[in-house]
Amino acid sequence: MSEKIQEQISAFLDGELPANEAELLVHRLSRDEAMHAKARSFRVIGAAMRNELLQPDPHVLRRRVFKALDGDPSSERLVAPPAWTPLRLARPIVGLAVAGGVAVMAILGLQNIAPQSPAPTTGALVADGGERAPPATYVVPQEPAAASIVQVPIRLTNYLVNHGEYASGLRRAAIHSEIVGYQSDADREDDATDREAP
Amino acid sequence: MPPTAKHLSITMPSLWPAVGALALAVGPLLAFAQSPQDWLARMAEAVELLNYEGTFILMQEGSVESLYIIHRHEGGKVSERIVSMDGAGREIIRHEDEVTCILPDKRSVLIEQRKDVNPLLSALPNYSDKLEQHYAVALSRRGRVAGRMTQVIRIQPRDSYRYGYRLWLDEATAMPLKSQLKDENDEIVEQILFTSIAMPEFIPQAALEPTIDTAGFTWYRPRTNGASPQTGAVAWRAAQLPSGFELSASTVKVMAGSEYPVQHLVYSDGLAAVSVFIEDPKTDTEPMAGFARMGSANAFSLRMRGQQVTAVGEVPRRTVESIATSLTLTPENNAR
Repeated sequence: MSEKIQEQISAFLDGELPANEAELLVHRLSRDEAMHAKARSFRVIGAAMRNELLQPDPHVLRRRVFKALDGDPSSERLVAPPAWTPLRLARPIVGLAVAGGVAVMAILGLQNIAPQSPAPTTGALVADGGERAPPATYVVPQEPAAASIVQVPIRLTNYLVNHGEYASGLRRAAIHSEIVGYQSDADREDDATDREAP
Repeated sequence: MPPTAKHLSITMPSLWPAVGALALAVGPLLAFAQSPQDWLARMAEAVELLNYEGTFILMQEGSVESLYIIHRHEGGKVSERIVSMDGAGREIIRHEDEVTCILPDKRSVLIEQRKDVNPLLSALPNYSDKLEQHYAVALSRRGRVAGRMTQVIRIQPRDSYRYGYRLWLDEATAMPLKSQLKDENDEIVEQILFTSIAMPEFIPQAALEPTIDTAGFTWYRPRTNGASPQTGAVAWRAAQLPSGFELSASTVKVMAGSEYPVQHLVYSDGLAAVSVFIEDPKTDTEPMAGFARMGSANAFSLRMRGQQVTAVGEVPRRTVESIATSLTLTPENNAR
């Protein structure tokens, strides 16, 4: 993908691409999956940089759509029907494509927050061999005691931790949550007491 | 906690007419992005590659726990910390090469080294036609979770050897904001629901460090540096597997608290996974036998040829039992 195309995508997502170029770009995006993916990653970076992911502004998308339509970001234009003139008739044809592109990007985008990061199937998580300095709170492990052969509940937990590492990202997080959220024996006893209470 | 992305849910309805009118103009793009497979692929990437932190509720077996998760992806490395906000107050911290599980109720800390990171990636769901032989994957309605609009995806198993899923994926990021794990009777086994979520650009290292004072705890960590090469002329393998399950990983490692290598096999159908652990029973003070359950995971243990065998996975009991009981020793060259 040429640098010029990347600049066009970036300008498009910022609402700064001229309408005629935007129309051509939307057409290309609809046919080129690589460009589509690049546009989505640009979109999420832009959103992150603008802090939209954290502190969303309800008018951001509306402003961008209308800016792309006719350069007027005022929200009033959203509800005011356009004058029915040939000039006004032609404008939405270009604007439709732009608005569609922006809307679809907004709906479907935000996939990859780091474009330089490889996709999971290409080894995104491969360690680089660097040493990580663990936090001081748990870098001072005690030597396992002589009688530290694990008990069954610990062994099962250990199995589950190891199992979780081979689950998908979603399930791994869920499995870890189960380990963390697992009720203690004391909680279970309390629950049982509550159930037995009149 | 910052407010959630309400603007998406507020603004989107006003855009739907435009989207509808423009379907012809961007039809191919829309179709590409709307397939359930595409949603699931995006979800798998989002869960790993986005930075996020939030509070969620875990509901299972009549219990409700609130937890806090911090997930960071930086420089190709993933770190994650999950903290129980009530209950036992457990924490689990995962860095790219190590998993630390702090169990205050057991006054224990488990540390597992992760020597081989690639199997995790290879175990990511592969949403292919093959997967659809065993699950029906479909888009369902849209809904709102934590103030954000979501697309609901239904994944229904075609037999009783695996669980089904219902996922509420954030329309903007494909992050699963709510998920349900359903058993063969369509009963909810586990439900996870984000009550708030933020996706900061940067997460500091300090946010990933544990807060529990572990003084006096027993630490379990591998005595050696994790995996040792598998040796010998024979290997344990499941002779009979539920349809669609295949061996996706096989390692031998010295696990925390053990003195001897444990063989770890992973069987997956592309979505569900079952781990089988085979170890010398003398590493246990008491044998394990029969079924056990931990959260939505089922485990089945038995003794076989003098070895302690345990199959564990978020699958129905019959699946872990059938895999564990079918284990057999196979010549190494045929062990696939």
